[in-house]
Amino acid sequence: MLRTTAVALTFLALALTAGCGHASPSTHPPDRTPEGGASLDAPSAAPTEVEPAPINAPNACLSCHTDKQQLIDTAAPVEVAPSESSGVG
Amino acid sequence: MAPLEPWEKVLISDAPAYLDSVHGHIVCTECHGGAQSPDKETAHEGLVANPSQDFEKTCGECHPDVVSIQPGNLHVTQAGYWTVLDQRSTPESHSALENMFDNHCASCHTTCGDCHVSQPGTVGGGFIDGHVFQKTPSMTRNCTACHGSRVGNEYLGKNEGLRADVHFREGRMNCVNCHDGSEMHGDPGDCMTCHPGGEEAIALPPADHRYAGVQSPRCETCHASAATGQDGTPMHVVHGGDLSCQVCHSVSYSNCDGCHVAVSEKTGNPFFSTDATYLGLFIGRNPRPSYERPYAFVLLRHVPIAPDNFDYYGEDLLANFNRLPTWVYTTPHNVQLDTPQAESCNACHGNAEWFLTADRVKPAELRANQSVIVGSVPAPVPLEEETAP
Ligand code: HEC
Ligand code: HEC
Ligand code: HEC
Ligand code: HEC
Ligand code: HEC
Ligand code: HEC
Ligand code: HEC
Ligand code: HEC
Repeated sequence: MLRTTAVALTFLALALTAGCGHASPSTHPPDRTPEGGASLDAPSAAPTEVEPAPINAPNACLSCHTDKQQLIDTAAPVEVAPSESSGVG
Repeated sequence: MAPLEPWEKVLISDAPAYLDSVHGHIVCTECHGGAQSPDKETAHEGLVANPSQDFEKTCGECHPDVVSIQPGNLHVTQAGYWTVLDQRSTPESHSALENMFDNHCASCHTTCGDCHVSQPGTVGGGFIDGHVFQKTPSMTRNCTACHGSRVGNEYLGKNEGLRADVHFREGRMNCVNCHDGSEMHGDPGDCMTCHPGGEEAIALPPADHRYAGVQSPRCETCHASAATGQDGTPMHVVHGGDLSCQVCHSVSYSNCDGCHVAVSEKTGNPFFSTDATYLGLFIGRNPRPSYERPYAFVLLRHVPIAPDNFDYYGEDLLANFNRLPTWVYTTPHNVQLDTPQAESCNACHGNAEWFLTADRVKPAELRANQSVIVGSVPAPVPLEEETAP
C-alpha cells in the first residue's frame, strides 16, 4: 500500500515537473577549434547563450543538496571496513 | 587536504554559481535519473550516481568533439592493462583474468566527472567545487588522487631525499601544463600537421598502451635547442637521439616487485599486497623501440608483476609470463638539470652502477628481461673527450 502511494506520488511529481527546465537542445557545442584552424565537425561558433530555462520550483534534488543540515541528517552512516591491503599501492 | 565529511561531498555549496552555469540549467534527473521527491529513498530510486559513465548520453549532444574520440582514450578503455595481460597469458585464462580485473582494476576506470566534477572514488569522491564543472582538473584532487603513489610522489618530491621535478619546483607547472585536454581526451595527436593527407595519419589505430602511438607530451616541444644540441651542451651533441632525455635528467624512482591480489573472506572486499618497493635508477635497452621512441637506451622500472600474482583466481594464469620484460619503459616525473649519472661523461661511461646488468635481475626473471638487459656498459671515454658539460 505504502509502495503504491510512493509510486503514485512519484508519477505525480514526474508529471508536474516533466518538461520543466530541460536544457535547450539548440545549445551549440563549445568552441574547440584546434590550433591551425583545422576544424573538427563541431561548428566553431562561440557557444550561444543557453536559454535561461528557469529552474522550476519543485526541484527536490536541489533543495536537499543545497541544505547542509538535511544532508547531515540523511547521510548514510559510513561503514569502515579496514583495508587489508599492504605495501605500496 | 582534509578528508571531506559525507555531507560536504554532496553539497552544492554555492547554488547561484552552479545554477548560473550551462550545466546548472539542466534538471538533475536528466543526468542522474531518480525521481522528484522530498524523501531521500524515493528520490534515489533508479539513481545514476556517475552520469558521465554513459558520456554519450549525458555529454555527447553538446560535446561531440570530446565524446567522439573516447574509444582512443585509455582512461576510459583501460586498454593498456589488457594489452599486457593478454600478452602474458593465453586466451583460456581470459575470463578468470576478467574476474580479477573487475575486482581490482576497474575502480581506476575514469569518467569525465573524475576529472571535471568530483574527486575520484579512490579517495572517496566528493565535489571539487559544489558541482560546478571545472574546465581545468586539479592536480592534487583529480590527477594525483589516482596517480599519487608513483607519479605524484616523484613529481612533488615526496620520496625521501629526492627533490621535486624541476618543472614543479621552478616552473610551477602542474600536470595539465604538459598533459593537455586533447591528450587527456584520447586525441591520437595532430598527425596532419606532419603528414598532410597521409595514409599514416588516417590509419593510426587507437592507442592500446600508454607508450604506444604518438609521444605526447614530448620534451622536445618545449626544449628544441637542447634536443638538437644547438644549446652547446656537449652531452646533447653526442647523445642527441640514442638516449631518452630521462636517462640523463631523471633521478631515482620507485620500483615494485610482485603484487598479489585476493578477496577478503571477512569483508568480501578486494585487497592486494605488494612485495618490496625500492628507489633506484636503471638504464637499459629500449623494450619498445618505434618511430616515435627510437632510443637505444632508456630508463627501466620494475613493475609489480610476478608469475603468481593472480593465483587466487586460477592456476598459472600468466602462462606466457616471459613474453614481456618485468623491467619496462619508463619516464619518471622527477626531471632535474643536474643529476649524478650525467655529472660528467665518465660518471656514466664505465660505471655499472646505473645499468641494468644481468646480476641485478632476479634469476627467475632473466628470460623475461633478455631484451632489455645491458651486456656491457659503455667504455669510459678518453679524458680529452670529456669536456666540461
Ligand atoms: C549535465 C549532467 C548533470 C546534471 C544536470 C547534474 N549532475 Fe550531478 N553529477 C554529474 C556528474 C558528471 C557527476 C560526477 C560523477 C561522474 O563521474 O559521473 C555528478 C555528481 C553528482 C553528485 C555526487 C558527488 C560526489 O562526488 O559524491 C551529486 C550528489 C550530484 N551530482 C547531485 C546533483 C544534483 C542535486 C543536481 C541538480 C541540481 C545534479 N547533480 C545535476 C552530472 C550532472
Ligand atoms: C546542454 C548542453 C551541455 C551538456 C549536456 C553538457 N555540457 Fe558541458 N558545456 C556546455 C557548454 C555550452 C559549455 C561552455 C560553457 C562556457 O564556455 O561557459 C560547456 C563547458 C564544459 C566544460 C568546461 C567548463 C568551463 O567552465 O569552461 C566541461 C569540463 C564540460 N562542459 C563537461 C561536460 C560533461 C562532463 C558533460 C556530461 C556529464 C557535459 N559537459 C554536458 C554544454 C553542455
Ligand atoms: C580515476 C583515476 C584517474 C584519474 C582521476 C586520472 N587518471 Fe590518468 N590514468 C588512470 C589509469 C587507470 C590509467 C591507465 C590506463 C591504461 O593504461 O589502460 C591512466 C593513464 C594516464 C596516462 C597515460 C595514458 C594516456 O592517456 O596518455 C596519463 C598521461 C595520465 N593518466 C595522466 C593523468 C592526468 C594528467 C590526470 C589529471 C588531469 C589524470 N591522469 C587523472 C587513472 C586516472
Ligand atoms: C614537464 C612535462 C610533464 C608534466 C608537468 C607532467 N608530465 Fe606526465 N608525462 C610527461 C612525459 C614526457 C611523459 C611520457 C609521454 C610519452 O612517452 O608518450 C609523461 C607520461 C605520463 C604518464 C604515463 C606514463 C607513466 O608513468 O605511467 C602518466 C600517468 C603521467 N604522465 C601523469 C602525470 C601526472 C599525474 C602529472 C602531474 C602530477 C604529470 N604527468 C605531469 C611529461 C609531463
Ligand atoms: C583524465 C582527465 C580527463 C578526463 C577523464 C576528461 N577530461 Fe575533459 N579536460 C581535461 C583537461 C586536462 C582539459 C583541458 C583543461 C584546460 O585546458 O585548462 C579538459 C577540457 C575539457 C573541456 C573544455 C574544453 C575547452 O577547451 O573549453 C570540456 C568541454 C571537456 N574537457 C569535456 C570532457 C568530457 C565530456 C569528458 C568525458 C567524455 C572529459 N572531458 C574527460 C581532462 C579530462
Ligand atoms: C610544456 C613545456 C615543457 C615540456 C613538455 C618540458 N619542459 Fe622542461 N621546462 C619547461 C619550463 C617552462 C622550464 C622552466 C624554465 C626555467 O625556469 O628555467 C623547464 C625546465 C627544464 C629543465 C631545467 C632547465 C634549467 O635551465 O634549469 C630541464 C633539465 C628540463 N626542463 C628538461 C625537460 C625534460 C627532460 C622534459 C621531458 C620529460 C621536459 N623538460 C619537458 C617546459 C617544458
Ligand atoms: C647524455 C646526457 C644527456 C641527455 C641524453 C640529455 N641531456 Fe639535457 N643536459 C645534460 C647536461 C649534462 C646538461 C647541463 C647541466 C648543467 O648545465 O649543469 C643538460 C642541460 C639541459 C637543459 C638546460 C640547458 C638548456 O639547453 O636549456 C635542458 C632544458 C635539457 N638539458 C633538456 C634535455 C632534453 C629535452 C633532452 C632530450 C631531448 C636532454 N636534455 C637529453 C645532459 C643530457
Ligand atoms: C647517463 C649515461 C651517459 C652519459 C652521461 C654519457 N654517455 Fe655516452 N653513451 C652512453 C650509452 C648508454 C652509450 C651506448 C649507446 C649506444 O650504443 O647507442 C654511449 C655511447 C657513447 C659513444 C659511442 C660509443 C660506441 O662505442 O658506440 C660515445 C662516443 C659517447 N657515448 C660519448 C660520450 C661523451 C663524450 C659523453 C660526455 C660528453 C657521454 N658519452 C656521456 C651513456 C652515457
